[in-house]
Amino acid sequence: MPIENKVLVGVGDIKIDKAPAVLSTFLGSCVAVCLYSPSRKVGGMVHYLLPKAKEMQEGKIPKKEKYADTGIPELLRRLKNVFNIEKDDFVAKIFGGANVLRMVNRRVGEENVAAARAILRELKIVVVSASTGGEKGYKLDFNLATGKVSCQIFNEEIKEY
Amino acid sequence: MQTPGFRPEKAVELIAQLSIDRASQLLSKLVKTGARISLEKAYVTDLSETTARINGEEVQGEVIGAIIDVTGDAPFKFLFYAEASSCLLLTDLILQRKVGTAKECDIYVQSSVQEIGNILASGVCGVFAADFDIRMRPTPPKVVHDFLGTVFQEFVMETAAETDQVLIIESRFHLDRYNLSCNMFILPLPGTEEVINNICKTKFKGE
Amino acid sequence: MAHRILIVDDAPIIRLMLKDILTVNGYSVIGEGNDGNEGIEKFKELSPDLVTMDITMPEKDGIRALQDILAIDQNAKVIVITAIDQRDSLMEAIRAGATDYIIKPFETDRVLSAVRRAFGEE
Repeated sequence: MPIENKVLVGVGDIKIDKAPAVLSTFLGSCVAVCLYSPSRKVGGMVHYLLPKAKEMQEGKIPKKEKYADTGIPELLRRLKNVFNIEKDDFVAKIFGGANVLRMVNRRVGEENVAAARAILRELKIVVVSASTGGEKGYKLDFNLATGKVSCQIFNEEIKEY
Repeated sequence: MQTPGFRPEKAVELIAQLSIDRASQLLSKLVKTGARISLEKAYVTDLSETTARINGEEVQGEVIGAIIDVTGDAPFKFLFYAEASSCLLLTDLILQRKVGTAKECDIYVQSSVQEIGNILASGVCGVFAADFDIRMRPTPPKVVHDFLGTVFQEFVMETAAETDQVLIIESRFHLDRYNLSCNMFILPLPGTEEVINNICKTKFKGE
Repeated sequence: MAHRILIVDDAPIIRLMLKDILTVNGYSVIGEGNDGNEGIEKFKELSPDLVTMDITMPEKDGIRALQDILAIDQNAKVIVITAIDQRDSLMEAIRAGATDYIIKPFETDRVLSAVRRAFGEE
């Protein structure tokens, strides 16, 4: 893939773009939700850390991108505003939520995945595919020309979703 | 009132320099060959940008990393990692075996990273204790064998949940003899920078 | 008959290094533990002549395990092993009754010296 098309997505981050951009990220317990409009070939990715936004502390406003409950709606809002597209045109894909550190007490990855599914259900956006869970990291390349996501779980083969 | 001549950022720079120097000495001792500091910086950064940068690094194959929570008066998170191929070599050096003996990332190779992380983190704690009288203790390392982006994300996750802008101390050590690099990050938890500055302010006041 | 030693450390590479040093020098490594709890169980099961005990371990750290072992046998010989610059942990271990200590990264001579002293061989 030409390097100039690659858009890197960090932790607690949202990136939106159009074809031929490829949105790339790595995941552990974090989850990435990819929204794509097949008709317009535009899409975006939110890479979030936790399911629910923390309450405001000392007047600080939490960054929406870090949480599922604020980040996924924010991703949708930006896509709609920037590209003037209705919500119904989007489909969703969910990735990540692994228990990389093998924590026993709290499985943030599972909570993040559950939050994604719940919020997308509330928003009435169809989840067309997903790859989640396990104990190894995820490498994602979300190709906005095709809507396909190349997903490689560490030490496994690359799969297309 | 600010102590005349005292600049808070100087305290952090000093701790960063001393910590990296100490880590370099300990790594050299552990692997019985010189470990030169090839990168040394302390900076405030946006975690989303930094993690995106790490995600874009060319080395995105296997790395093995040791993530350590350091508890005490000025808690921080510590990360030591190297490419998997370098970890094989580090294991041979620690065990004083012929280089090339370790062939796969088994429990010994993973635990060599674990121990390097443990010893370097302890060394950094020693800098805090000896030079600034700040008591610190490392907890058992968590070893992760995965993509670099994944390891780094797990390292910053707890801090990223609390804050957007963070201070990071980043360093790289190069073993010239073997053309091998390994990396160390120190990530003070929210509040730690203030503790360091207050202690240093008191310390420098009398000088 | 060779002295019987139990090695307790959560890092397999450290257990391997200690085992190599000890067996080459005539000691018998009769068991290994991966954390404090395992160390205590193996101690009860194997009754070693000496235990080497890492301090920083998951589940139960070396100092708590040392205390539990001494509660089982007040004459137990336990050499604690800790990373450099962990003076506070070291002092706590000595106060808790550790026989001696070894600092990581360790040299062969230092390991042997501590073991020999524990057995009154030096």
